[in-house]
Amino acid sequence: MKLGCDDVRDLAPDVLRGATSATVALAVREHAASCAECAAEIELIRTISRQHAPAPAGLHERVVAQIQQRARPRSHQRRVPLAIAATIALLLIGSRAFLPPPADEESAAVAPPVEGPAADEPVGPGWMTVESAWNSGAASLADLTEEQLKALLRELES
Amino acid sequence: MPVHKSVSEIALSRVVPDPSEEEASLVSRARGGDRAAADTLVRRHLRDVYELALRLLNDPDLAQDVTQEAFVSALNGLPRFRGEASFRTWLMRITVNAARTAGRSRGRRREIDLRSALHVDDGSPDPSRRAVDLDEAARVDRELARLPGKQRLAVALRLKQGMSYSEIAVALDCSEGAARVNYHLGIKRLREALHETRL
Repeated sequence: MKLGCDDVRDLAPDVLRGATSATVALAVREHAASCAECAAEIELIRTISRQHAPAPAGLHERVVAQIQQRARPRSHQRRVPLAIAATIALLLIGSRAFLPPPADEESAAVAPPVEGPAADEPVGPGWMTVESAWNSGAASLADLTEEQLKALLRELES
Repeated sequence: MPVHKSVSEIALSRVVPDPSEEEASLVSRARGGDRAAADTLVRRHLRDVYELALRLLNDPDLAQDVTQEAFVSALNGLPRFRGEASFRTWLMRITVNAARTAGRSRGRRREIDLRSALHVDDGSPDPSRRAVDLDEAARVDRELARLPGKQRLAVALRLKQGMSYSEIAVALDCSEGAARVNYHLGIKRLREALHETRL
């Protein structure tokens, strides 16, 4: 196999790290033996390739610890906004105690459509939306049943 | 300076194996939260990532920070890894980006003597020979650090990481031709600079 200078310089790094076939490696060496320019370049490549910077002691442990530390908060990240949303919703429900209850007609007129059982549908046990919680007249959290609280949280989560 | 696929690619295509199935399995397990798999990936690529960061920044402390950042980004970002390139190439790209960001934050590049951070595989038990090699290595290193960014990166990725031009292209987000040209320009400039310092 006969190689030109461009090919030899392209292949030299791979030859030096043993990543080419024996035929290619031999062709590169034969060319370098008769070409001073390519031989000089191969020597430079050899010098650079031989240098290594070992990773400092303890870096592996530091990296692994950091990966685990940063992976953990991800599960919390989803919970935090949810907890904030739940708190705000519950505070709103609680504050309902200090406002006069809206007239049924007015509520019907201003209430946006909500997903949930239609008025004529039977309401399942524990069904609770933010809207219905608001309109339930519950004075505070203490007035909601455990089932209603759970249903409210499920709604907020969805 | 060839910009075509030539003997190089043909020769390598016969001997370089496809991306390791074992690595693909490790990546898949790490993506699923397997800590042991993540740990193995870190152990396997730690030196390459650190060394690349060190080459790019010439600052061992900052290189450690960048190494950490690169691994955290890569492993936490595995759901975004589509497997079009090898994990290693993807990791190198993340390292290059992290080093660029860190370099910009730090400001002007420091020129420091990397002799303490370098190890030369000379196989020679002769301490005086090793000292000469280390001096030569440090001289080459100084000149390497003075190359323009793209050329320095292309040379480092080709010679330190053993990457092909197509892998360098992925790591640097450029064409394969640009990767090849930058590598050869870097080597040419390096040879000229070393020749001048010897005169």
